Amino acid sequence: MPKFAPKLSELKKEFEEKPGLLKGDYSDKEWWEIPVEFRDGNWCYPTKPEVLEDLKFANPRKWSPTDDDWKLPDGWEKTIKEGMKDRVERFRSFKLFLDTCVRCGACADKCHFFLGTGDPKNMPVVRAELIRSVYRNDFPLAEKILKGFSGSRKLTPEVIKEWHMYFHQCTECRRCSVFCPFGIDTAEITMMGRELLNLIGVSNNWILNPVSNCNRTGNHLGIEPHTFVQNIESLVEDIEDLTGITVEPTFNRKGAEVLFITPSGDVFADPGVYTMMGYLLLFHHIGLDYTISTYASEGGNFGFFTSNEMAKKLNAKMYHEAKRLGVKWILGGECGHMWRVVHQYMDTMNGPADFLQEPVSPITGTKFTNAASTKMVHIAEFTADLIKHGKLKLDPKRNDHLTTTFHDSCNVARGMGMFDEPRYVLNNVCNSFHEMPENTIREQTFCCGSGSGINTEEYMDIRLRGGFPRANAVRHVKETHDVDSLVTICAIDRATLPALMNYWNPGVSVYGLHELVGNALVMDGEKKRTEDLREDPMAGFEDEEGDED
Amino acid sequence: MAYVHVFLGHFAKDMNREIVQLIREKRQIVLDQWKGYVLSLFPSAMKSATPIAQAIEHGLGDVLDSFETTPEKRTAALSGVIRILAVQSFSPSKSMSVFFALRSILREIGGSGKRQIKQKHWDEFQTSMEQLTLEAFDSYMVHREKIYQLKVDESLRQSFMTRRGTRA
Ligand code: SF4
Ligand code: SF4
Repeated sequence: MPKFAPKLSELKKEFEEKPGLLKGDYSDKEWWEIPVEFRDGNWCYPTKPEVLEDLKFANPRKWSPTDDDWKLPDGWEKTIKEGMKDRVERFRSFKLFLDTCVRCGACADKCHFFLGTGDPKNMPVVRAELIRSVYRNDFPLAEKILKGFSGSRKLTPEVIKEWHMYFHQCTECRRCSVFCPFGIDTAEITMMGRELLNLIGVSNNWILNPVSNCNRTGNHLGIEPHTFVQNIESLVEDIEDLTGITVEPTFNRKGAEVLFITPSGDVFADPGVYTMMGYLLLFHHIGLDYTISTYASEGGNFGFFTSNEMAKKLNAKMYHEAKRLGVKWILGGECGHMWRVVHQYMDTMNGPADFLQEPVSPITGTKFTNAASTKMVHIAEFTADLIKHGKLKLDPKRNDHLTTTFHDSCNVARGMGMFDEPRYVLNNVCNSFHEMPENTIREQTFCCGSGSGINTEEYMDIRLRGGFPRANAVRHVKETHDVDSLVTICAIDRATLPALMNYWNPGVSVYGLHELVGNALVMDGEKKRTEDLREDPMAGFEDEEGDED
Repeated sequence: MAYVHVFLGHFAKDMNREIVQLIREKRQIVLDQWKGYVLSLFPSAMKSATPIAQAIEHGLGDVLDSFETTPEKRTAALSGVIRILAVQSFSPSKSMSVFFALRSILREIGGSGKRQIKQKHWDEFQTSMEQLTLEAFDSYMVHREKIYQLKVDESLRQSFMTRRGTRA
């Protein structure tokens, strides 16, 4: 018999049967009876009072999710109930999604947070149930229609805590909606959940601080116009050092044909800045008549993770600037949620943009009829069209030092149905593209695990768990094809996937698509290229040996 | 000093051959039970076909196979399992219990067959398992440290241009 070791059955008793989250004492409980437990790594810092004051949002105070008392405002229950009623009336999708679910469970195991945590409250069906159960209790008619379904409950502070935890373990990625026979989009339930929480001052600083900055200076970091220009000019110098080419972006130039808007991460963060260098080289290469606004200096929109009104307000600057500068149309950089807002909401929120023209590529003459109403074209589409018409001089060998795969960003893939354009571009600028497994790409892509404003460092544990399914798919191509470069078209991906890769797949770096375009572009009058845009040596272009043929 | 010797000894050399043989013969049974134990630490809905569960199975299999290989391979195999455990919602002690569980599983399986493994082999094996658990603890700490490093690196990347500006 074992001398030192306890029996397996004893160990199980120790760790399984003693009370713990979702264990032992709770094993025969319903999901709504299991309390939430906030510990380091599973909550984000709450919004600072001064930020809430600045935005004129409710209930500014100092508090922490680990506090017993969240200092909810007087009458908070009424605020939530009225807020829910108002939203059920205003947003047809919300009402429809609350009423339609038949609990078939098809969505249950499709969420990356569920797959990464095994926590039943991360099943999309249960996530929606967090609100639906309260809705059912408070709306007698709904209850009547839904008679036969159990599970209505009272609104208590515990419910608010649960909402806060689980509506921030949803990245609004919409993967679940792809598998739902009714197309129920739990992301929209989460959006409503977060709106309601904001009504009583339950929110995260990482989301609302950028909102406040954006509200003031136009971008998430709160960069003032002169610094914004300086950053880009500094990238212009880098381009000159590397290629010998002086690109000449202009700022706030009236009468330019195109206004270019990209997430500000491309202007201040690593590795986004290399993608920015790629755009600048591309525009120079084709002689595009474009300008960059120092006010519409942010494509991203954290207002979208806050409320419909805030999303609308922050988005409005795009059309304002396009109008003020008198451009013909807008070209948008690589971003995820920016494109969801632009593609699905901008036209109705802040349009019609009848002062703009239906976008036409000045280089190829292609009419972007798909952007006829928004007047805003995605850069991947724009570049794919240039390549298709043979307008770019490209040497894909310049990316031979990279073995690539492509991560479909949720919002661009599922939000606007763009799958092929980035792949077409990638295949034309590098020789080494390998797809991840089929059920992890395109419409079924797995989220980076950090979208929708949860990409803050104090939330790293949750992000690493939620990002596991994506990382696991990258691991597959790393093992089978020696992939070392993960290419994306999203600024949040560029910000967060490096950490995810570094943890789960060390040795895999993250690139923007247009960074690789910038590497491959053969510019007129360039000096001999030996390094890529991040100053890593290109394979076969070393100084001494000269170019391979 | 004897103590130091025991804990810094070369594990692979010390791993008892009888036990290695037992693992080789009963690999799938051991692996199934071991994986079952690890999954029992997760919230109840973590099923064995999820990517996490598959990665755990893969990692635990690598650890079992590493008993016949080099210390370097064993360290790499351990890291594959600990990387998953170190970001979960359960405590570090639960993560470490995974290695006590292996010991228990092997003793139960090894004690039940016709072939009786002598106590001295179990004693030797016990020392090896203690060494393995200590290594696992090191690996756990390495991964927790890494998570802190990821946070720092991410902040630095976010302020890339600002820092560049101040250096200039
Ligand atoms: S939208 Fe994405 S994160 Fe949210 S529940 Fe659905 S699959 Fe999960
Ligand atoms: S797949 Fe749709 S109907 Fe089925 S449980 Fe999920 S949300 Fe409800």
